[in-house]
Amino acid sequence: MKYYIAGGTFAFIGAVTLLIIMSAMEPARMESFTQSYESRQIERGALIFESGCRPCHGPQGEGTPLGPPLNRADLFDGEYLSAIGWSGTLDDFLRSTISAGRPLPTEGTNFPQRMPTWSQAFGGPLRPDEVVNVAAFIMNWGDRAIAGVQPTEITDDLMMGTDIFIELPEGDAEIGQNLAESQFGCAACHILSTVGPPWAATGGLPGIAVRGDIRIQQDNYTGNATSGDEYLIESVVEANIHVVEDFQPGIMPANFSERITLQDMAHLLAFMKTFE
Amino acid sequence: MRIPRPKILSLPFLDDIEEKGVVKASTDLADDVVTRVTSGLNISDVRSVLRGDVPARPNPRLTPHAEGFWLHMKPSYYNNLMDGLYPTFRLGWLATFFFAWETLTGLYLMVFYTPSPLVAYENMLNILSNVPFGRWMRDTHKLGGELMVLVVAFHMLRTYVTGSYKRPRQFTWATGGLLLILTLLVSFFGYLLPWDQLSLWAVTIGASTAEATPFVGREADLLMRGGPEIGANGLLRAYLIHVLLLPIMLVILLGVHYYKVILHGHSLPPEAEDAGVDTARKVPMNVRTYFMPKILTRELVYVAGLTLLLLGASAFTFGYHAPLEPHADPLVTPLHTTSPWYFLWIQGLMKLGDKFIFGALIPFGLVFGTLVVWPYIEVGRNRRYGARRIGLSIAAGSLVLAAVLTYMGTPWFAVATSPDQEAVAVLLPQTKPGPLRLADWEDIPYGTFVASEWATAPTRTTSKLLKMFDDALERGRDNPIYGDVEGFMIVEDWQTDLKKITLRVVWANPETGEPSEFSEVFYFHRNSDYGQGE
Repeated sequence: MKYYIAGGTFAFIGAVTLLIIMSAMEPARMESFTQSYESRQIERGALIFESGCRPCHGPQGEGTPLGPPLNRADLFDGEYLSAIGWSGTLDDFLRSTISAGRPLPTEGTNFPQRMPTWSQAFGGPLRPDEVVNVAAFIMNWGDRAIAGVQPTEITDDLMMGTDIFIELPEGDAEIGQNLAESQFGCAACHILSTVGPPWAATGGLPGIAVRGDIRIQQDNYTGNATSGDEYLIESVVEANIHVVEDFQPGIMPANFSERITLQDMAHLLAFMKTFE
Repeated sequence: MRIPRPKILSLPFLDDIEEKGVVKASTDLADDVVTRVTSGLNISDVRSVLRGDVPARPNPRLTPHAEGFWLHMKPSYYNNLMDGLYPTFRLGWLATFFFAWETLTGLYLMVFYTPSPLVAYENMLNILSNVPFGRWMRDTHKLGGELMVLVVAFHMLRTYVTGSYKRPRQFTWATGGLLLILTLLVSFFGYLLPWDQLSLWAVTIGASTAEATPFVGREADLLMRGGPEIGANGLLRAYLIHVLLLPIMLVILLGVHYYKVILHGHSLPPEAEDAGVDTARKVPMNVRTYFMPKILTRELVYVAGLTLLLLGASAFTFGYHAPLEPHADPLVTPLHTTSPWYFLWIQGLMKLGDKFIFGALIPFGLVFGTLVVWPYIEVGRNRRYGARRIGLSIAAGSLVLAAVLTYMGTPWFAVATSPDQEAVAVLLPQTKPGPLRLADWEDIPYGTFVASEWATAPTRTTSKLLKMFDDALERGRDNPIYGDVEGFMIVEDWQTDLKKITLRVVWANPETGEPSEFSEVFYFHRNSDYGQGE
C-alpha cells in the first residue's frame, strides 16, 4: 500500500511537472508549427500553380503571350498596386484576383483572354485554402522577382477587322514566326500542342499552306473564303465562323480582328504558308 | 429571565456560535459539510480512511455506497480473490477511465472546432499552431480513443476466456457487446472530423459498405451522409453522432453494465468455485477487501499513473502524434488508403466478394450479432477451462482468423497497383510524410540523379533516397511489362528556399519497345519541417 501511494504521488507530481514544462515549451512549438505550416502552403501552392496557372503565366511566372508575368519586381515593390489603385496588401490583391479573376484587362495590355475565376465561391475549382496556398507561392517570388512588365502594345496602325478580302501588304515569314510565338501566342495551341488544329502536316492532312484549299471545297464548310489565303485569314479574324471537325467552338480567342494590324496579319500569313 | 429576541433572519450558524462558541461551531459546520459531500463520512472518518485505520463497527465507510450517487455504482467490498491483477486485469475499469479521458479531452477540442468542411481542416491547423496544448489534447484524444477500442476488446476477450458471461451474467455480457460496438462506432465517426484525406477515405469506405445493404442501405447511407457524397451535411451529422448521440448511448449502457456488476458481484476466477455454481454475490466476511481505503487508493493511483503516461506519450516531438493528412479531396484517392485498423478485418472480408455479404452481413449481422447473444446460445453452466474446450477453441480460432483478415485488409494483400507508382510512393507516400519529406533539405543538391547510380550520389541523403528508390524499382523489374526500368530524381532551384523535386520512372515495353513514364512532382520548402507531430 505504501508503495502504491508513493507511486501515485510520484505520478501526480510527474504529471504536474510535465504540464509546467509543456506550458513553457508551447509558445515555441506553436511558432515552429506555424512556420512549417506556412512553408507547406508554398509547397502546395506550387503544385496548384503548375497545373492551373502555368499554361498562361509560364512555369516560373515569367509570363506568356496568354498571361502577364507574376514574377516581376513592380508587383512586389508596390508600384503596380498603386498604378491600378489597389488599397489593400499585395496578398489581398493576389487572393482577390485568383478568387474572382479579372473581368477587364489592365490598361495598356491586350491579352487574348481574361483571368478566369478560380475560387469555388465564384464558380472556379479551388477551395479557399487552395487560393491562399497559390497566393503564398506567388508571394514567395518576392526577393527574386526578375521579369519586367511586357504588355502587348496597342499601336495606331490600321486594325485588320473582319474583312477577309482586304488587300494585305507584303509579309515576312520570319517576323510572322516571332508574332506567332510571342505576341499572339498561336504557337501554344497550333504548333506546340493540339489544342487547336496543328499547322504542320499530320497523318493524311497536308500543312495549312495547302489545307485551306481543301477545306473550302468541303460540303460542311460554313465560311465565306474563296481561296486558301482567305481561309487562313478568316480562321484568324473570324475563328468561329467555321470550326474544324472534332474541335470545340469558342476555344480560339475571338478578338484577333481587333488586335492584329494589317501588316501583322500579312507577316503571320507568310509564316503560316511555310507549313506545307 | 432571557427574553427571546424576535427573529428577523434565521441563521442557525449564529445560534450555534452563541451556544457553542466560534471554534466548536466552525468545526461542527466543517464536519457537516464533509459528511454531506462524501455522503456519510465525517472528517474523522475520512482521516481514518486516509490513514488506513481499521474501521469502526458498524463500518461507516459503507454509507457512501448506500447513500451517494457516484459510489452506489461501485461495490463496497470485493472478494479477496478479485484483488489481484488476475482475473480482471482491470480492463473494465480501464475502459471507463478512457471514456472519461475522451470526454475531457474531447470537450477541450470541441471549443476549437466547427463542423463545417469550409473550416474544419483549418481548425485542425489552428489547434496545432495556435491553441496552447492543442496538439497535446488532439494527440491524447486520438491515442485514448485507439486504446479504448483495444481495452474494450481485451475486456471482452478476458470475460469470454474466464467464462464470466455465463449465467447469471448473460445480460451484462450483452450490454458489454453493445458497448464494444458503440466504442468502435464512436471512434469511427470521430475519424471524419479533421476533414483530411484520411478522414474522408476511411469513412467513404465504411459508408459505401452500408450503402450496399439491400432495401434500407441507400436510405441509411443517405441519412448518415446527408447526400450522395460526404459534404457539409455528412460532416455535421458525423459530428453530432460523435459528440452527442453515441456518448449518450454509451453512458446509458455503461450505467446498465455497472448496475449489473453490483447486482451479480464480480465473477470469481473459474477455479475458485465448484463447477456450475456462482458464489460471487455473497462474499464471506473473512475474504472481503473493502473499497475504502484499499481499492479507492489504488484507483486514484491508477488515474495519476495513466494521466502521466498518456500525457508523456504525446508531450514531445518523438512521442505519439495524431496524423493529419492533406485536406480532404473527393477527387483524389490516396494510394494505400485503408479503414481504421480495427475495421481492417472487414476490409479484408470485403476483398473476398460481395460488398453487402462480406462487408455488412457477416461482420455486423453474424459476428457482432452472435457476440451479443452468445451467452444465450452457449448455455453450459461450467466455467472451468477444461470443460470449455470447444468454446475456447472457437475463440482462439476467431482470433487467428481476425489476424489473417486484418492482414488481408491491408494494402499489401490483393491490391493491384503499378510498380512505378509504388516505387515513387516509397519516397513520397500519400498517407504519411515519408523519407523524402523528412529528408534534410540542405543535403539534397540540384541536379539529375539516376536511381541505380545511388552509390555515386554527391551526398549521403541523396544516396540513401536513391537507394530506396532503386530497391523499390528492383521489385518492379520482375514484372515482364517493365523493361529497362530506371528511376530519376531531378532537383531544381525553383524559388527562394523552394526546390522542385521530380521523381520519374521510365521503362519500355520489352515486346513492343514502346516507352512509358510515370512522374510525380514534389515542391520542397526549407522550413516545411515535416514530422513534428501532424
